[in-house]
Amino acid sequence: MASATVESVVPLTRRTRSGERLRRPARIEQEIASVITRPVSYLRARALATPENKDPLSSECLVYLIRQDLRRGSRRLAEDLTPILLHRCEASLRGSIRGFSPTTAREVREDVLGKLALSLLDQGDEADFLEVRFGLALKRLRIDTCRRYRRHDQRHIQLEDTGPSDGDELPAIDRLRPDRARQEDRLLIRQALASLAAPERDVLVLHRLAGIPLRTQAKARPDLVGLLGCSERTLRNRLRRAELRLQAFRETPE
Amino acid sequence: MSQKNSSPALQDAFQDLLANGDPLDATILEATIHRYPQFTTELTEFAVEWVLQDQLPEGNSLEGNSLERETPEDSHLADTSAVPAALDRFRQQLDARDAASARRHAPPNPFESLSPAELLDVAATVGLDKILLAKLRDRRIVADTLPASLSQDLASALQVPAAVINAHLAAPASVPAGLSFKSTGHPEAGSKESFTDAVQRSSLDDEAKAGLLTRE
Repeated sequence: MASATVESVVPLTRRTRSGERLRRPARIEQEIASVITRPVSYLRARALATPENKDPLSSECLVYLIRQDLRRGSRRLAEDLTPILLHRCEASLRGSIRGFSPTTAREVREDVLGKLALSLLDQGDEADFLEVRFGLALKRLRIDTCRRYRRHDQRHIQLEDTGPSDGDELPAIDRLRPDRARQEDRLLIRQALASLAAPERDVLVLHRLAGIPLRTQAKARPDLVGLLGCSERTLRNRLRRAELRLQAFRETPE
Repeated sequence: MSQKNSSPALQDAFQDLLANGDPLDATILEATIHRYPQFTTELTEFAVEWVLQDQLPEGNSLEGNSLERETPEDSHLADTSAVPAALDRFRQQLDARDAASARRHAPPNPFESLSPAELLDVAATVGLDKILLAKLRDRRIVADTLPASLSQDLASALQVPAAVINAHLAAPASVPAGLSFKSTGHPEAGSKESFTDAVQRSSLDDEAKAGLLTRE
């Protein structure tokens, strides 16, 4: 009796902290199942967003197809689909790597794309999450890469000052809005932040931009004393040094 | 700048932080640091970077007023796609994977254990010169083009079954031995040629060449 070969979607093996296996969303599973046996030419055409193909394959689906092709020891499909996936990611990264010079932003972009491409080759299950929530995984990779560049070279930071202090009698930087940007202020603050040590910058950003209080009596609400493991006095000193640095840059004539 | 990825456990910690609250939530940050106390510094840095990336204005609005003075060439570079470079790395890794796989699955090389003197003895026994024998050793001759009688003579000289000779030649060509120590560039496996071409290019005299080419 002749039987048709049915290729099933290979389940993920990576487990969460609680021990559960990662699972693709149902719509991704269905999408993969619907194309899994199609020829390379069809998959390539479905991957590209064109006027004729308004519903291109999801990035999660592309990652599945690429990884499966590589696991089989093949590379034809992977070599066809990986450039499409990377171009898609680059379009997303172009507007979302912020606070770096254009040249460094491109280096960050290349780094992110390179890491992403190499993760597809991983034979284990470290890249499984790319098949679950690709956008979130890419964001993680982007922020982590920016974090590393920032740590290695703080000269690239770009921030803007937008107005009066918020009551601490210190310059406020907590209302960052492009429409209120004054280029000279932004350059000054960027220069100031570039000279800040990481502990000072961390307090400044988490307190002024993220709005996390230095210390709070409310037990349910976290504060920077708890998060950073420093005394309130240390945090205030760091914050003051950071803001004085901003003030000094503001008052120094070019 | 290092191209290395953070450890999987650290990536998990970042993933937890991102997945549980967007934009950054101080309670989630605290809970994540509590779950991954070994990554307190990295999680704090990540949170700072997340806030900066979310709140800084889009694009490079300070272009031309940058601390790093950018030349027109820099600006052009910044606009170019980063995909080709990423793809180059991807393909290099793929090539390395395939080469490693080919090495793992390659049949044993019957010439491998022979000293240079023993190789010369084998060459003299079967009527080849050093160049031809080196090409056979490095699998640079197409297996199907080798006369069966010569394959049998080689097998006898090397004291292995003829099938081992055929399997050896059927595998992908390898980097010639010793080349990796002499070349300034990355050594590449040579392409294969037919036995006839190899004989024509050998240093054998015309009579020896004719003798080899008439073998079946």
